[in-house]
Amino acid sequence: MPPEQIITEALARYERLLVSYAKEITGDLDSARDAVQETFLRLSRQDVVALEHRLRPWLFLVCRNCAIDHRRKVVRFSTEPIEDLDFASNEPGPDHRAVAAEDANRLRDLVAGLPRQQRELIKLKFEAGLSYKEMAEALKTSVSTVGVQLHDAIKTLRRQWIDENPEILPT
Amino acid sequence: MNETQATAYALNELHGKERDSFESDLAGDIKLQGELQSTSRVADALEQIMVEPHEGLEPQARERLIREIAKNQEAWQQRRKIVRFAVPVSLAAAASIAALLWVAGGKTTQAPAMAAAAASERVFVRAESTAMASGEGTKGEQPTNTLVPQKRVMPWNAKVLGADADPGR
Repeated sequence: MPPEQIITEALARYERLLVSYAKEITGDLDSARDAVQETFLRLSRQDVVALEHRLRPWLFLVCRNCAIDHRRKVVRFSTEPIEDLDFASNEPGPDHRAVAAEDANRLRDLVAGLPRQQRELIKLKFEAGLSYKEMAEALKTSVSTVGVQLHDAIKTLRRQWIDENPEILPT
Repeated sequence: MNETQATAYALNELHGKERDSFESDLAGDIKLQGELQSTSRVADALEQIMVEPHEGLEPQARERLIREIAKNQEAWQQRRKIVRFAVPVSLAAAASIAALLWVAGGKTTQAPAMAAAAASERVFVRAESTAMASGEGTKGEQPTNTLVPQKRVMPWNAKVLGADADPGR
């Protein structure tokens, strides 16, 4: 596949996922969009064919770095501490197939209450569909660290969610 | 049983022997089965709420980006062509220069050194044989303008020694 086509397809496939992921880090949509544009510009200056087999983790890794750069700029010009930025998405998701709307919103709130690093992992796993290995590559960490941190995040969610909805416990 | 493994199993991240081992443990552990079930439910719920996000780039920004990508790719391809041409040419040039230097070095540095060594050996041998012929060597007196033999074993000069040992003969 020609390099330009690889990039165009990657843009079509990952643009929204990357914007969503970057927004998790920057806290605002405009910065997230800037980070994603920067990511694809960097991609266009790479040997795309050589990168193709590990394109997905590469995109998330570079997008993460760009988003972190944007977040630093925001913090530099803002008095607001970085941890106080509102990372939670207030927009309702369009799909509530099996989870009732209330439950879905509550679960979103619970996810929003997790530490930023764990929210990132949840996004990468359940939204972008990355494997542990790809997540480890994107976050520049080990597969076992990803496993432990994601387990901690899910355990926290499970405890909180089951506390509120004991009926979901297996009988 | 490692709880982390249960989560990894629920997320389909256990493979091969690890998976087999976990499944055999799971078969006899009711508590683990319950834990796995509740983890799977949370994971399923997370998959359902994490639907395809609908916020992408602004259409205009997207178009600009695609144009920029095309430009960058063109520039990248040109650079690649240059590198593809320049690297083999440079390597070939470097190899040629190295070969020339090696050939030239063999004639101008090593050959004179060998010649000089051979010449000095001839001088030494001549001096020694002159001294022996005149009987000075046996008397223990050394002529002032001849070389003093030290431990000199130069096998490559055996021919020279043989030929020049007594030039007067």
